[in-house]
Amino acid sequence: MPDEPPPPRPLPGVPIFETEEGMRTALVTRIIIAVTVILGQLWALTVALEAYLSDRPAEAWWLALFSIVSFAIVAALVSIEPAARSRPRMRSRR
Amino acid sequence: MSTQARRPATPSPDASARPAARSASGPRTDPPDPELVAERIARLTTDARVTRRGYLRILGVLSGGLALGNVAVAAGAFRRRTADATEEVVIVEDATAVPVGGAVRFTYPTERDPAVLLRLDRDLFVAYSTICTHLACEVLWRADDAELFCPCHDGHFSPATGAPTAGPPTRPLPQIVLETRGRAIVATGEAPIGHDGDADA
Repeated sequence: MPDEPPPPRPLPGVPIFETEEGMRTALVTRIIIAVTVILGQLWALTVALEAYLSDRPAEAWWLALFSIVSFAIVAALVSIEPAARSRPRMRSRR
Repeated sequence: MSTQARRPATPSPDASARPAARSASGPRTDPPDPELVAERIARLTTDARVTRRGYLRILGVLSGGLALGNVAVAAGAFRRRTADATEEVVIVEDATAVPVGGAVRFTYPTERDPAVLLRLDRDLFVAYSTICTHLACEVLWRADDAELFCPCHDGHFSPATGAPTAGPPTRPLPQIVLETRGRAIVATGEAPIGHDGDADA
């Protein structure tokens, strides 16, 4: 039984094929970044509540802005889907 | 691992033909069908599969909720209900009946809002809400030490300003605005949160 041919080597300027493991790693990385950002949002919420109750509304608004920017980052992480660059399947010869 | 491999087996016709036995509330007399038991155990122990992208979307929704909550906090959606109090409540009819260093407990603006009137000097009266700004326990007046004290977490407040002096509280007690009408002392509202502790005689 002949061995499967090796994958073609990419030419300069041509993106290399992303393996499934690589795509999975990228997704897990996005999840970790999102969790980190959300922890920051939780911190901001507690500090903003304390600032509001202490009659420091300006500080509370700055923290709200921080939380909105954080949400924008998380939304970008959710919505941006890297282009699928998985290796094309080799056609079986009949 | 495929999805099908972790899903329970399709219920048998026997299992689907026994809805009446499942919903019966009375004591069961017949032994349970082992196949039905196995199906129920499989259904309970099989986790719902959520993909990584699904987790990421959940995180997105969570983040949006936190941002919304933060904006609501800054916009004042969670105002204290006593902050806009304008009711007038007569605390004592005769101010001279309160000794110097003494206290009178009352409620303001509603029956559920405990407060205390303190006579710090001959002509100096102050009043505070006695809901602790830490975790909402009731603050007590300790005449021996001349301080307001929260027994829950050992919080101490200054009677002159309501500011925290020791313990976990970081915010002052809300001060109640007082007016003297004749010999009576009347509560007329609540001072802003950042009050400077000026006592009203």
